[in-house]
Amino acid sequence: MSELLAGTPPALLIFLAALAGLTRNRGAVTTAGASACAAVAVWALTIPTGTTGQWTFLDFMLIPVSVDPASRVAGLAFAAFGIVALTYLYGTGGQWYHTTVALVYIGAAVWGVFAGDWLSLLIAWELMAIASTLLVWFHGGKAVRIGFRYALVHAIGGAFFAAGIGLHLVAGGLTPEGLAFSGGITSGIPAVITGFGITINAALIGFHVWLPQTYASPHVGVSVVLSAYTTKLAAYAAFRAFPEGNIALAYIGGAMAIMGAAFALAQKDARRLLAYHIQAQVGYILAGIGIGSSLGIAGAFAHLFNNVLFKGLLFMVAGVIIIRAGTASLDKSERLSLRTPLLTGAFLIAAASITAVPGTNGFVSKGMVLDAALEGGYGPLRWLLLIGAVGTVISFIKFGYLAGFRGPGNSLKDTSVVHGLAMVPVAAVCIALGVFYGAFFELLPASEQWSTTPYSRRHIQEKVMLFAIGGVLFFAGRPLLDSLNGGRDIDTIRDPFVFGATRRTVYAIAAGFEWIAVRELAVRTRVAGVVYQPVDAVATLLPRQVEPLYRAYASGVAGTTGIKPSVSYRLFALIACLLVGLILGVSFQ
Amino acid sequence: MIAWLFDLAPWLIAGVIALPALGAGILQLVAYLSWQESPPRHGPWVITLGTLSGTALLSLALAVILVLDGPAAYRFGGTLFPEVVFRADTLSVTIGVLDVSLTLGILAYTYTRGPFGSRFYTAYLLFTAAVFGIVLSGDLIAVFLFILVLIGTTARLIRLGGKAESADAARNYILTATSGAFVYLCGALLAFWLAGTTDTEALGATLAGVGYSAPTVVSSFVIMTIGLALLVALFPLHGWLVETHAKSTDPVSALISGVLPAAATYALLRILFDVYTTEFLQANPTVTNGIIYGAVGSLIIGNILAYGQRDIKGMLAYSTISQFGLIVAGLMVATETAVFGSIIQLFGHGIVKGAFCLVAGIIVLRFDARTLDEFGGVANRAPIVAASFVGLGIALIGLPPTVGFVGKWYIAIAAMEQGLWIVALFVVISTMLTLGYVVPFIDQLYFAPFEGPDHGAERVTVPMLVVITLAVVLSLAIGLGSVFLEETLREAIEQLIAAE
Repeated sequence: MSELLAGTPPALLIFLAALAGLTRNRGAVTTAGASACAAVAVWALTIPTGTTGQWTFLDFMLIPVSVDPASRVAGLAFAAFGIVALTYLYGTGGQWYHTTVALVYIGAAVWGVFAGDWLSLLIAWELMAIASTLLVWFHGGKAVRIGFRYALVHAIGGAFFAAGIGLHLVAGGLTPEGLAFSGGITSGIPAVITGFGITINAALIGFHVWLPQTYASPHVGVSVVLSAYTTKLAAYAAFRAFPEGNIALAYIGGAMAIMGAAFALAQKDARRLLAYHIQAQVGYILAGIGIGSSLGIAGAFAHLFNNVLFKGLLFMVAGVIIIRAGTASLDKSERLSLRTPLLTGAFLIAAASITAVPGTNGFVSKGMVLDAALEGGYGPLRWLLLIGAVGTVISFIKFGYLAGFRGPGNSLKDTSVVHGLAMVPVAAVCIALGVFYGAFFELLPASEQWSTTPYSRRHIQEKVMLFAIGGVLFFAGRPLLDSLNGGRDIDTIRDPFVFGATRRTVYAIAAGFEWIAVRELAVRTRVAGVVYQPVDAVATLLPRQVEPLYRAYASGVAGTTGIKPSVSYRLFALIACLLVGLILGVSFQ
Repeated sequence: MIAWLFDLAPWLIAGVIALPALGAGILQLVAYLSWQESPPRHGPWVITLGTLSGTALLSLALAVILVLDGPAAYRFGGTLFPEVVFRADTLSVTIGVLDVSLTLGILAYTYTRGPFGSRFYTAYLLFTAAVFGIVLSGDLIAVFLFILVLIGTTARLIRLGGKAESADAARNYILTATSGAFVYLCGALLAFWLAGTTDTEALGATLAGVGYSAPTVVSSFVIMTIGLALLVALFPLHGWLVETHAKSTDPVSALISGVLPAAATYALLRILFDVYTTEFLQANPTVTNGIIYGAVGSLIIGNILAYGQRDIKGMLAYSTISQFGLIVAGLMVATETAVFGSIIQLFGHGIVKGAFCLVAGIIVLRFDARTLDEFGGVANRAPIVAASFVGLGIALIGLPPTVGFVGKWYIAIAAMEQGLWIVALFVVISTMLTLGYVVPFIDQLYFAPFEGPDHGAERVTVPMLVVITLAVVLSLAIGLGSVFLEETLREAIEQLIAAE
């Protein structure tokens, strides 16, 4: 019994909590969901490492629960952040249906992260895509259109992911254990296709536009929920696919760090700015995973954990500003100031974390990834990441500048108690993990194989340099930054092209099907004619003299097909079968 | 400590056959003694429910004992008339459980909507007993006698269904089915003449001595198989199934589609593997391949004909024909994987098709909708019924993770392993065809405007909804849990395939 219980995915608890949505009471479902998330967080901290439970479907072995440090760190982040995200969603007026679907979404993420095989991960992946699309759609208006794009992108990504897993399975010889994670995806075509499918969800350059579009459009509470899971599960899946690292992945990560930060610079919409930073930070995580050394992977997962926290906190701050000021545009909203100590404090801590100010969690984990690049001899990658870090510094100076010094006045109201309940603990953890990182390091993958000194002289000097360069660049480039209002992302070129190409393809396919349909209809009409009017069909075949005689005979038989239910036909068929069977069976041995 | 419980197995075997038969007798007796003047509306129903519940418990107990302790046998007679052996293993009890769960489930439907009356329920109980008889008999002649009882009770169920043309249909059915049964008897007698016994195990050993390629042995097999093929309703011997399906009431259709061909298929399975064995199949490739291609033909033609049906019951009947083509093809592939696929498909199809007939019945009850065009917009008014329709439809099509997918998967995989790629190909084609004729119904249910009459939700009782929902859940659960089922059945299937 306890074995059965141990093999039960913890996500089940969150799905059960989602059932509280049946009460249509947002308080009830939030309470149930937050408790479930808390229970799962405790479970994630205490469950021993290892695989429990096995479940065979067809010839394949599925592993519902598989715990190792990587899944523990990611799962702990997911579950713990679930508590505050749900609280925040409640505080910003999320309805029961928001919370219920958010629970399905969070549950799917937890399920995926603790599953031990590709099929379970894929199912969780698709469930998340569906749930998150619904969350976006709930907002109505412009979000519906954006939700469609989001669904489309994730359907394409999911299809590539599934195809990659299929190829991996075939390459491994269709053994029952073929779906288990062990050793990553077979290199070659399976790895490329799986990698592409996974990184679409991680906001791969060129396929990342869904991220700023989607996360800037729904309910502010939903943005907070969304910001934590989809891209992070993708980073986790990238680790499962390439547990030994992958140089292409590392450089994709490096490029994403720069791209994300660069586009963030051009944004004035708070949530768009932050969404581009998701791309940048996931770039860091992918870089760490791509480096593949034990320090790189540990750094990646540390950064994944921290990123969930500070990015979530930033989205919460942005959400409160949007609710309070009624606009998403930072330069037009009321100002952050000392009159809003909680909000300003939360922003400062979160911004310090993401820009890696010493004393915050971001400083520790970013330092690990940079060190891994240095140790592994990935010189160019390290430079890419450092340039990305400068971009991050500039864009958060800009965020702070726009939010604090531009805008009509400083009559912004501070956070409510519920917002505070969600935000203060996150801010506290951001600082705590930056100072007391020892215990956290124990949780990380392969903690005995690497060591790092976060507060070494080199790290501090590096930071001071980055901030100095960032500050100078911001004040030098301020007029330019002010003139940018969102910038042009790849979608302005890609979308018309894709749209045109898709339209032509669809027209071609439609024309092809029409050609087939016309011919198929002709055949079908003919067949149907024979079936429904067999007498006519037979009559046309007969000689001219016999035809009237036959028609006269046929008109005397009832039934539309000319064959009525008749025992004699059946006996005839039976005897015919017997004869054929006996002749065949006895004479051709 | 519980060893004495295992000794109960033979008595349980006797019990599952005797109890429903006894219940039928009691029902007749009570009706004769006290209900002649004013028959109570639900009296027969209650007695039937009690009897069938008892039978269900007995068969479940039997199943547990068989799983734990292996096959069992019960010997009957021996002094006054020739000894008859009844044998049970996990395979036979699977079909028995299907039989009793369908008859129990259908009761939930007949409580309010009938048919009523002690004569109907007597036939109903005897039907249940006869299926258990066919499934558990280890004797060719006993199987024949139980088939005759089954045919007689089925005809009675069709006639008592109360539709206008049902008397004709019942007569046609009797004539057709008994001729099939007698063809089977000819084959059985030929085998008896060769071996001097009709006990399946003894017969198997003797026939092996005669030689598997002897014309007489081959002929006896061919004759029995064709006789049973008619009872399974394989193309082109399927006419009776379509007619009876269309002419009988929905609960009876559910029995006819769900249980009747399954019982005949099981008899075929026993004869195939117990009497003739896989060695016979290898020795006569023409016969084996002939039956496989005949069954695959049935699979395709059944589906094509179903495609042309606008009436839901016609569609269901032809789909049954195609499903049993697949099941028989799986049996003839005769590897462990294939036989397991066939068994799970047999069981799953029984549940799904039986429930499908009930869903069709419920839709008729409330909306008078029989044909595709009348199905429009029902989903908005009857969401549970429509959702069950979709769930059962998915299982019928055979999409993962339902039971329909699992059965097809195992059969297709086994066929590929044996180099019969054409079977695997046709499995895929038939899935597409099934999709083609199920989806229009679903499309109508959800996306067409409602035009027909609505007799109100109160016509559909809660037990009806519970039964069809349960069937959907079962079709999912069996699909997901197919591996547990495989473990339970593995031993029995290994013994079956490896026999002598």
